[in-house]
Amino acid sequence: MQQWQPRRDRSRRYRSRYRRLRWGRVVVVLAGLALLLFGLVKLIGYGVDLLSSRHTADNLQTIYHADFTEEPIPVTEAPTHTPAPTPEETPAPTPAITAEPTPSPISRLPTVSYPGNPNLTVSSRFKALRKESKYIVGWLSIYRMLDEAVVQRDNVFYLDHDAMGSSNVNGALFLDSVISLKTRPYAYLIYGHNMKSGAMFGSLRNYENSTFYHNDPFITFDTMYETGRYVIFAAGTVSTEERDSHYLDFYALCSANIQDRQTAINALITASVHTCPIDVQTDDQLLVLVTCVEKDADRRVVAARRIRDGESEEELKRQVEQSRKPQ
Amino acid sequence: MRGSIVRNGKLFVLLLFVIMLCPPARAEEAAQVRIPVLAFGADCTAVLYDSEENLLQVLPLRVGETSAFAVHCVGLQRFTYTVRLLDQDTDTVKYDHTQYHIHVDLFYGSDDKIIYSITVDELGVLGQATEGKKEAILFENTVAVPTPTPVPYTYRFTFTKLWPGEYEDSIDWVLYKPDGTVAHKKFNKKIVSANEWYYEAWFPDDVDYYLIESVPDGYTVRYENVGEHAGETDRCYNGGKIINYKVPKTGDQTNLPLWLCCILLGLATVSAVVYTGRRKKAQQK
Repeated sequence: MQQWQPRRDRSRRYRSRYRRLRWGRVVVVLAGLALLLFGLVKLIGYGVDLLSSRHTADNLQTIYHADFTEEPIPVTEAPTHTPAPTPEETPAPTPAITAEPTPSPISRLPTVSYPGNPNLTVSSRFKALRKESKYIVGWLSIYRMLDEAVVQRDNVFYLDHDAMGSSNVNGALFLDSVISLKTRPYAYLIYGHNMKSGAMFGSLRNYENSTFYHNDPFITFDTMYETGRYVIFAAGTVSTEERDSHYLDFYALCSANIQDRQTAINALITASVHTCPIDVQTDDQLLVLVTCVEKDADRRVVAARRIRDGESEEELKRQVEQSRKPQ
Repeated sequence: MRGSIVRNGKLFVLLLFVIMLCPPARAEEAAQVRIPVLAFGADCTAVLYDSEENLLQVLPLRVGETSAFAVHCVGLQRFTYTVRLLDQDTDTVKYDHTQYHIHVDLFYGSDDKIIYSITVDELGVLGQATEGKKEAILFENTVAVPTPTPVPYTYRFTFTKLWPGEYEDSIDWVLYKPDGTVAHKKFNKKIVSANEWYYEAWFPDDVDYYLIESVPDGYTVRYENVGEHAGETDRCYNGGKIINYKVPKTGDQTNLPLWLCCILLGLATVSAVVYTGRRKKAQQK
C-alpha cells in the first residue's frame, strides 16, 4: 500500500502536467489559426475588391468604348451665357513700377455655357453609362495607365464604393461635389485612392518621374457635356494646411475670382517637380487629379490645362520635351 | 390667473399677449410677431429661446413695465419658443414656474392676410415639465389686426451654407454691421439638403451687413460673394455662400505588410506546434 501511493501521486502529477501542456498547445494553435485566418480574410478581401473593381471598370469600358453614332447637338443661343465683363482698366495715376498688371480685386471670370452644347445635351456614351449608374459624369483616360469612369455624388460615398455603388476598398474616381456641371466649370477636381496595387490614382506617382511625364503629358477627360484633351503642366505634392509653404487652396481653382485662381495656379506650378514649360492662364480650364500621400495633410496632384483652340499636341509635346534639357 | 405662483413671498406673473401683426412688405407667408411680457412682484430677466434652444433675445423686466420680444416667423406653421425668467442679479433660475412655451401659429385670415394666434403652456420649474397642458394664459385664435404703420422689416439678408463632403450638424457665426459692431445672431434656417442650408433674416434698414463664421475644427472656410462684394473672401455678404470643406482623404487604408505578417506568423505557430507534437509522439514511441 505504501509502495502504491507515490506511484499514484506521480501519475496524477504527470496527468495534470500533460493536461496543462495540451491546453497550452490548443491555445497557441488557436491563436496561430486566428492570425492566419485574419491575414487570409483581409488579403482575400483585398484581392476580391481589386478584381471586382477591375470587373466593374471593364464592364463600363465596354459600354463607353462601344460604337455610338452621336446625334448632332442642336446648338441654340446659350441661355446662361453672360458676356464676359472685361476688367475695367483704370488708368494708373503714376507710372507703373511693377511690370505685371494686378487684377482688380473684384475681377471675375464670366459664367459660360459649353461651347457647342449650350442646352446640356448628354452624349450617347454617357446616356448608356448613366443607365448603369446615374452618378457617372465623366470618363478619364490616361494612355496605358487609366481608363475609368468618374462619378460625382458627395465627397464621401465613393471613397469606399466603386462606380456602380458596390462597397469596395478601392473606391472610385470622383469629381468634387462642389463643381457644378450646369455651366462649364473652370476646373475639374478629381479624387482617387492612392492604392498600393496601382489601382485608381496609385499610378499618379509616375508623373513625378521625368521620363514618364515627358513621354506623354496628355490626359483625356470627357464629361457628359463635352470632350476634353488636357496637357499636364504640374505634378507634385501640395498641402491642404494653410501654414505650410506648399499650401494649395483647391477650391480657389474652381473659383471665378481671377486673383484667387492665379494664386492657386502659381502654387501648383511652384509645387511641381518639373519645370513648367506650358503657359497657363487664369481663364484656362483646368483638370486636377488629386490623391493622398503618406503625410496626412499632403496631397499628390497632377494638374493639366485644356488644350486651347489652335494649339497642336505635337507643338505642346515639343515644348515639354525641350524643358527636359538642362537650362 | 393660473400662471401666477407664490414663492418666497414674491408673486410673479408672466403675462403674454398679442399686440400687433406686421407682415413684411413682400407677399410672403410671414409675420413679425411681438410678444409683450409684464412682470409682477420683482425685477427679473426674461430670456427667449427658439425650439432648438438657441438664445434669441434677452429682456430686462421691471415690475409693472411692459417689454416685448419681437420674432419674425416665416411659413404657415407652428413656431415654438421658450421664455425663461432669471434672477436679474445672479442670472440664475430662482423661482418656480419660470418657464413658458409660447406657440405661435401662422395662418391666413378671412381677408387673405397672414394672421397668427398665440398659445402659452406653463411648464413649471426648469427641467420638470408639468404633466399635460396647463393653459396658464391662453390667446388661442387671437386674430391680430394688420397694423397701419409702415412695415419695418423689408430688407432681407440671405446666405447659403455648403458642405462639400463631410458636414457638421450646426455652425456658428456672428453678423456684423459695416462699422464692425455685432448686429444680430439668429437666422431662419432651411435645410435644402444635408450639404446645403439656406438662411434668411429681415432687417429694418438697408445696411451692408456681413458675417464671419467660427470655422468648425478641421475644416477650411471659403466665402463666395456676389455683386459688389464678389471677390472678397474673408467674410460673407448678403447673397453669399459659406463653403466649409475638407479635401477628401484618399490614402490606401490597406495594410498589406501587416496581413502578410499575420499569415506568416500564424503559419509558423501552427506548424511549430504540430511539428513539436509529432516529434514528441515519435519520441514516446
